Amino acid sequence: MGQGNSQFTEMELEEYQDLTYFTKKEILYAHKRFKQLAPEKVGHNRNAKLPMDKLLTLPELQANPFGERMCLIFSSTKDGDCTFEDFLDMMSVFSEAAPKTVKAEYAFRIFDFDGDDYLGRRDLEKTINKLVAPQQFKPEDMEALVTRVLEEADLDDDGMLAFAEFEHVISKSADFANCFRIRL
Amino acid sequence: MYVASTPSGEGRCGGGASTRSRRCQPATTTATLVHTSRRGSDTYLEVLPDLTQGVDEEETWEKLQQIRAHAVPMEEKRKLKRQLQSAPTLRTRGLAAFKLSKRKFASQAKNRLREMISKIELWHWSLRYVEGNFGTGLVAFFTFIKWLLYLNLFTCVLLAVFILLPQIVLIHPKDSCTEVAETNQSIGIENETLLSVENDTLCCFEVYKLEVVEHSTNVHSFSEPGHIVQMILDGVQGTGVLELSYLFYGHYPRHILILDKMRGWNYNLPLAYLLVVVVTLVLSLVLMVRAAARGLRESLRSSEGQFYQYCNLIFGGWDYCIENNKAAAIKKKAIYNELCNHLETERYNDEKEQRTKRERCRLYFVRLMINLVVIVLLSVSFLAIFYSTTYAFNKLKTLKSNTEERNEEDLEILLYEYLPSAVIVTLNIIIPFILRLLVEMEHYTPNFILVLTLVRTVFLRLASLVVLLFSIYQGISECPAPEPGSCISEGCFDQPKCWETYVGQQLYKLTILDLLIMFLSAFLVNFPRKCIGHKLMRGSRIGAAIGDIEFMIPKHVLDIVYGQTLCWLGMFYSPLLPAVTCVKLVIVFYIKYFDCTVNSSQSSQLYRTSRSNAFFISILLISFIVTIIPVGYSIAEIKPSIACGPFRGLPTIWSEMVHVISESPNWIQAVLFFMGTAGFAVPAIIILILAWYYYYAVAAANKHMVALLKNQLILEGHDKQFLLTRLDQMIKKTTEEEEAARSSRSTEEETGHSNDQTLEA
Repeated sequence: MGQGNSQFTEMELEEYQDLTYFTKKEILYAHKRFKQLAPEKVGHNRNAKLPMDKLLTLPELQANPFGERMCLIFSSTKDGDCTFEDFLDMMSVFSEAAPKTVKAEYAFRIFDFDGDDYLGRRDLEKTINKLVAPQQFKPEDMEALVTRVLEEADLDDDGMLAFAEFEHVISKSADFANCFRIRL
Repeated sequence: MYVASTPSGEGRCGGGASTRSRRCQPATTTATLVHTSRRGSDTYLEVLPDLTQGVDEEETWEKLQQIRAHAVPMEEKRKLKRQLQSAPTLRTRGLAAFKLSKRKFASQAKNRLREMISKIELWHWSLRYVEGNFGTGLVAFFTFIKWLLYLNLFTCVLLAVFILLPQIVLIHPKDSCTEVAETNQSIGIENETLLSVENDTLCCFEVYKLEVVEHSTNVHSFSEPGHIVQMILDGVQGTGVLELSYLFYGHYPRHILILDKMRGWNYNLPLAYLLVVVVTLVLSLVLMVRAAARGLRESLRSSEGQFYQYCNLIFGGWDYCIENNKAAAIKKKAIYNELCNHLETERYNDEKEQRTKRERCRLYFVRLMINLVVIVLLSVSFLAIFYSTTYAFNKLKTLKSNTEERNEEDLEILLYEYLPSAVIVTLNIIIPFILRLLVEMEHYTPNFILVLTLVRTVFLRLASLVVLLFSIYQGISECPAPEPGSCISEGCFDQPKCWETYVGQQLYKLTILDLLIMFLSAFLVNFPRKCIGHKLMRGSRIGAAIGDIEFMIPKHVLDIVYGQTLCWLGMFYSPLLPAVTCVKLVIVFYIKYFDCTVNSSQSSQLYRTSRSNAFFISILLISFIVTIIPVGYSIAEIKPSIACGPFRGLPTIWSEMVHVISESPNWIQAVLFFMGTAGFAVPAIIILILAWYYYYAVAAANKHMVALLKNQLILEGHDKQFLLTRLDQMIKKTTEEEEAARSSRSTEEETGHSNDQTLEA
């Protein structure tokens, strides 16, 4: 169990490779990082389910204002607790090889706090608040900001962003794919 | 429901016909599929083709490749994969099967390659550390260094293979001043005049060699410590042993090289030398243009959406790779500031329109004055460089001419040798500082300030190099062509015997000096500043002022670009300079890494990766074009030195090429001649213009189309809203009616009930 390799067979690695954007080596490395979060649990059962606060000790997630959202979205039980496969899914989406469309899909889910498939004014406000956390905008500034965002992106003028509109904005943003990425 | 809709979903992407399915863009289809697949748990069935009828093998494979793009948990992806694999497949045959296996193989090879590259990726951990602590903007800078390193390595390989290797592997006739006639005859050259010229140049080379050797032995007769000092000096200046090594142009012989075993096959070294340099320059240009075009496309795309500035910041502003709480806090603050800035700018723009005429006049006047000051500053610095160069040149001549008392003047010589380089470096430190101060007074927007200062600084750096070259050129061209039989023309005995090597030495010196300055500024200026500011005077305001150093990306980019410019300029005169630059870049990477991680605090400005990338490359491109001009001129116009190098004795360096062409078969000559005539040039230019116009028209039409579609989208949106409100109203109406009906019924009932009660009573 001490060696990284022994927890996966070659077949399993092949399958993970088919289902994610990782190479075998990266998958093993992802598992190593997953194991570091809770060595005794994962050492016992390689696909153990880790609670959200354990996952949030991962430096990238802990510093990230959307860390909690990410756990919630990738968790297969929707409660923020992740198995290794959920974790691998997350890392795969955030890997360099993942295409922009996949990233956009998940970004949309992250920003969609109420889960109604639209980014409404409340979602946008929450997003901005999280993004600048200790600082805060005055209500009128916040109002102005949200209005500006909607002005820019809301093509059909219905006061909220549907996925298509969101994707359109993302496709124009040259930096998005660069930023929406975690190096393992 | 989704299963039922499968045929229509398939129809969208070409269905079973493999030829059509390849034509539809996979990216968009996956996107729509992915997104629709999130409403409901069994929705992934949508992506499955009709399994009952059996599917095309190729299609199955394509779907399998796309599974990873589905936004569903791993377990469901696995199920999906099973389903796909277990479905009965129709085997493809013939050409299609061959194509499929080729594609499979290609994707496998790509995977394998990716794995291999990830193993040998340079500086992975350093980059990751920078990214985690400083964000992607800085990583772009370091990857730029990496890109340049690869470019230079590539150049090195070309030079090594085509210039160095042949000299080691192949043999050539011995050359000495007297033997030359015999060896030449044995090879079979019978041209008398050529022979004498050849003999002359060889003799001159001997003289030149002797001079250098004599000079270095003269110096080497020192005691031991002096010897070591001299070694270091030689190493830094490219004199002594180095001057006669492969490092410089002067050492390369004018030989047709021959393989020992096969006498008939020969290798024209001068031609190879010329071609390799030209080809590497052209290749660098192509690589740069490609990178710049990619960057330009991205920045155009994002600038076309000037409107998207808020969205970009909010949806794409966070670097998910940041893993350090302090960095995260700074990043949040930076985003906050940027958002505030945007709001502020809008207010500023409103104000600007209300600016009074008088204020505007004053501002324009100030800007005009400052521009004048900048021009004066720049021209003064050019003059300073020019005079210091010529002054040092003259001084060195007089100093070197009285060779007896060399010992005391050794230091003085060194001083003058380094005078021009030192002046350039000092100016490069002082002037940008003044420019930064001046630009503050001009009241531009922050972004424009950044660009303006950079452009001015770039101008200074490049122009200083040009001035240096120009003053050297003046030193060379003053002398008329020497008489046949003598190595140097009369009255010019003090000029360097081999000016190409001299230029190479100057650029080599500048390269070394550049590295040295970077090293000093990182370790002897910034590091102590940081230590004093943050350790000794912690907490105080002065300490913070001393210790807080921002890592100014534009300044550092300029350093790197300057180094690369030196490399390109010197490549012809010092073929190993790219190798030197490679080593330098590796060292620079670590210096900058140290400067960034230890000395600097995170910049409070947001650097956009895409924009800065395009910016780096375009500056590089400008400097490349500036370098090409003097190098091209010296190749095409200036007479090469007689005493050294592969082109000795020719009227110009390019005439080697002309010579080779004139000896080539007739049809090549005819083709090349035709390319030089108007008959070729005019149609070519016309075709180019037509192509350019065509693309311009297409772009304009597309733009128009985009505007139309946008309008249409808005109209549709309004339609939708109108219908929705109508629907809302209708629903409200009906519910109201219903409610009214119900309430009347209930009141009826109630009244009935009460009637009953009263009756009972």
